[in-house]
Amino acid sequence: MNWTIVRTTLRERMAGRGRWFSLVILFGMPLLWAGLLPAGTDSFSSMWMNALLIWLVGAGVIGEEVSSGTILLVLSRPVSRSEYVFSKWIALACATAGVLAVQAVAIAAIAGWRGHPVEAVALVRQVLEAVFRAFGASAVVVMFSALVPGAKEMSVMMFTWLGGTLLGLLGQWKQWTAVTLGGGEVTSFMLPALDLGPLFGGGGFTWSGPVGYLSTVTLALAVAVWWLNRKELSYAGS
Amino acid sequence: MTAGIVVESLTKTYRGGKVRALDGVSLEIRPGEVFGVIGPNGAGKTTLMGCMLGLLRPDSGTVAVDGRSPDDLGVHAITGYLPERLMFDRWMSGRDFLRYHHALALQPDAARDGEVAGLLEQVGLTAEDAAKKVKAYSRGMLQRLGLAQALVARPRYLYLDEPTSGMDPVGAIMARRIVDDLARRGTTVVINSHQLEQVERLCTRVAFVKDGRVESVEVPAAGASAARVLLIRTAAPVPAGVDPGRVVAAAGGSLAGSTETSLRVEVPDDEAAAKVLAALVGAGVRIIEAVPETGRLERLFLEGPGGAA
Repeated sequence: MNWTIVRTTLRERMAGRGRWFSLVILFGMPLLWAGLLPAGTDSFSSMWMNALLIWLVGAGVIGEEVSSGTILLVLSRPVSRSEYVFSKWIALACATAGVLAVQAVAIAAIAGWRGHPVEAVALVRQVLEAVFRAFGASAVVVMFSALVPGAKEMSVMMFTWLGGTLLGLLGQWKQWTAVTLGGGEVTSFMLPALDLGPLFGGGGFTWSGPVGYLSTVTLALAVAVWWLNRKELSYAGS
Repeated sequence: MTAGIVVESLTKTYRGGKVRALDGVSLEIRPGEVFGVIGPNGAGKTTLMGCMLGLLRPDSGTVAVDGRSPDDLGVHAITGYLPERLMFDRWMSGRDFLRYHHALALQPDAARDGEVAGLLEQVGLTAEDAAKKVKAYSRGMLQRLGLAQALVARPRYLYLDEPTSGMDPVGAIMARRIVDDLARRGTTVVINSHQLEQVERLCTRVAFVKDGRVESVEVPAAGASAARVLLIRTAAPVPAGVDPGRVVAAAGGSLAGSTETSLRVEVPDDEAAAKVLAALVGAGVRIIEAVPETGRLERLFLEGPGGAA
């Protein structure tokens, strides 16, 4: 891990006004809905609002450095490509985990203010799940950002997610189990999540959840490192 | 372990082998040497530098820096690089950019502020310039910042791709002094440049690269034992009845060209140069100036290795 890259990535992510604007909107909308919708409705603090926030904050985290060429100087320093990828992931994951955790607490506070207090255990569960979501989705963003130059990975991710969703719907409609499962795999790959319900609310714990989550995160980071290791970084020949 | 940079039979192609950027390049750059690489656009100079830095992967052949692969992080730690395209983090201030690279280069935190201030001063950037965002920098300022960035880790190997491109004359002189100073302290410097006069002044040896091959390796600043061309200016035309070609040949040189008041004479060494000058004076030629001819690399560029004697 290279903490210089982690710190600089955090500063760089916060340097653009456009990103701040998107962040405020995606942070504020679930709070607004928590205050306006009938108590107990949770639609806008859903996983996909969180995903959008993580994707927007992370857009171009590696791809923009590849396109602009700044990565050339970074990797001419004693920094390995895997160290670079992990540092980008940690920066993105820590930033978005913090935002999502604060958002979860704020939504609980609004619910309490409206007379539907959230139990402390449930709140801890929501915060932890948000943190895992941030680390999981950040790994996927880092993978797409390593694969796609610039900040185009956002559209690639949207289309991939949309493709997975449509595939799942098609499978359900036609009752094709394999297609339904395939669509589900694609969408769950795009936003790796860990259900902590069994730990907090009882119920049967199975290893499939943590194993699935960790394998997705590992695969995404491994693909990012592998691709960046293959990549030639020079403007020669262009 | 061989010290310095050793390039052996390096081949690199692009676009699935359709474009051959390097074609069996072999070179040896000695420690402490200032080594120039010149050649026309598309000759393969930047590709060669990219392979030396480990940023490009050759199809075949090897590069070793102090006997190690250029991918080795230990090699990166002693390497500085100024790319031709100045692709810096535009959102940072110049000072933050240098601080960032100082940290990436694993330099001690405690020394950061002092060393960054020293580098800024060395390349002629003021405190006011350093506080500006990089996106507000002119091309010349970017070049200075890039040079400071390349020097940030006190490199033992410094790669400069067109180091004075876009710099004003003051900046170019500053860059030359920095390279001179580094060379005196034993830094190995590799310079890609189209500024032939600068390469001729700075470099101990120069490789002329064309079509991905090293056509020749020249020694621009000829020493006592090296052949060179003397430009001799005379106060008046050569006296009637004197054949300068014969006089020069008898003294061990050869006449390469002449005008009414100048002679171009090739001499094999200093001894022959002294004899040629004495013979011409003895023959009544009124010499007012005799200087080694510069622009040798320029002729190499225009005429190829065969025409640059």
